[in-house]
Amino acid sequence: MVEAITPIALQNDETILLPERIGDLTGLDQFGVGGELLAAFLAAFIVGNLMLAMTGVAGPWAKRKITAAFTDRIAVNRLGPAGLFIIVADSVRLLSKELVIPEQADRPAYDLAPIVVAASALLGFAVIPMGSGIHLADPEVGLAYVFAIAGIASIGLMMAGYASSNKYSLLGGLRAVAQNIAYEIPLVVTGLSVVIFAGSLQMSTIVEAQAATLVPLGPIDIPAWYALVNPFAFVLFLVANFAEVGRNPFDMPEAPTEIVAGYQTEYSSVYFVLIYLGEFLHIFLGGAIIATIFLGGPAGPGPAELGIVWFLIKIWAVFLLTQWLRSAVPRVRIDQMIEIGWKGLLVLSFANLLLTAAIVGLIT
Amino acid sequence: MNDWIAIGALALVGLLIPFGMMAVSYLLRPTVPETSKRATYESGEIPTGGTRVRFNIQYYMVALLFLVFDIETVFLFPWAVVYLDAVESDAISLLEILGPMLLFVGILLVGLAWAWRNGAVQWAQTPRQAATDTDRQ
Repeated sequence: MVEAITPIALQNDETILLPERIGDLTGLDQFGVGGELLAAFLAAFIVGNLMLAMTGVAGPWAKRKITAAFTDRIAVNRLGPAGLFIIVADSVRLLSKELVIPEQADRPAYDLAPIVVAASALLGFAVIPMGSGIHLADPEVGLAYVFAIAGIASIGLMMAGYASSNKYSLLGGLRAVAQNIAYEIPLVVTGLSVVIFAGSLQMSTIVEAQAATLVPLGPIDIPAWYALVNPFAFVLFLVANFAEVGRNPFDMPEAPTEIVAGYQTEYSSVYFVLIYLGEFLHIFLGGAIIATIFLGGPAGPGPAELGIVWFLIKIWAVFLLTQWLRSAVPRVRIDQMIEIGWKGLLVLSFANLLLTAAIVGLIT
Repeated sequence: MNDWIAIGALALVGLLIPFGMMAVSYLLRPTVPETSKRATYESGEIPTGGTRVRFNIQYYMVALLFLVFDIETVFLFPWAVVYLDAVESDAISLLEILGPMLLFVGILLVGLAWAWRNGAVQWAQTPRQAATDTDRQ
């Protein structure tokens, strides 16, 4: 146990990142700074579109299929195999809607909000090691960066809520921000308890530290994934994450029974698509953080080239869990949400951090 | 390669994707201007009053509390990073590593307890709401 959680204290610089690999493969690295920039752009383009494709599958298709399965109904099944072509049909349908902008809207902010929400979610994926060499950047402050970037979405939601000049939007935006800030701290503090084990904020170091063996179980070695090392932190992080991305049971920012659609009430056409895209990207970003710091990142049985497969399985598992909760768990009230966040999770997350620190200190 | 170049490249892609979608939508969508269409949505009713309504003070209270704790987590980051190295080196005792942080978190938890007692993390109710409270607790 003691040896298993002993991490690599040094920062590791050997990881070959995607831009370098692309520079190598295409020969772009011979062209100096320009080639380097182009390789970085190509790599970012691949990562961005991978995430866009996942959102495309999740939004119009997987979400409906999963909800239908949970509620014993039949979902999209007419177009293509298992209704998969609904993704194309829905994209065209959504993008070809008329853009209706309310007269009272606060223009620059109203237009910027969807872009802020979508772009901030996408930026978080820059530091996530997805396995099979798909890893865009690996700064030493990786974990702090990803929390910081994910937090920017709150500004987008506030802008959307305020600039729409709609009472529902205003309340929805306020609720979204109150929720985000209430659960941001438990999220970050629980994330810190992982940093105590790994001794680094760098994503590749955190993943590598989880490759050690926790307990040998016959022929299989159970890896020291932090979800197994500290299951309490894992559960806390899951709950805080669901609140952070505004999924059930914490989805009152857009509770249709109370405030219509919350901050996105006045958004139509491509703006609506962008806000939705941002929300789905946030679910996947939450899943990616969980997979990276608690579930060993791209680790899994088989050769290392399968990393991306394991990684995608892990983040889709988190997505499936959000949809399961959506079908199974009732929504909490806004006052309950504030109390669960500030009185429950905050205190528990600090208890977890201090206990982890004390235990690591005593057994090392 | 510099990590931040790659992050900057993703930021560029993160802007190109929304703008690309907006361009596609601009080409596809119809424009049918009607005066009443652009009115503020209020469940089909004619909107009443201004839209900058008064709202619960609670949002302000939790935002203030958030500032305090968010800055605290920023201070916790460097401590958490060096913690393991400090424990493994025998130069300092565990109490010296853990003690200051316990004190720091302790002071903030006292602050939280104070806010808790004053009802800052409790959803504020108007006197009328409190009188007619039928919640099942």
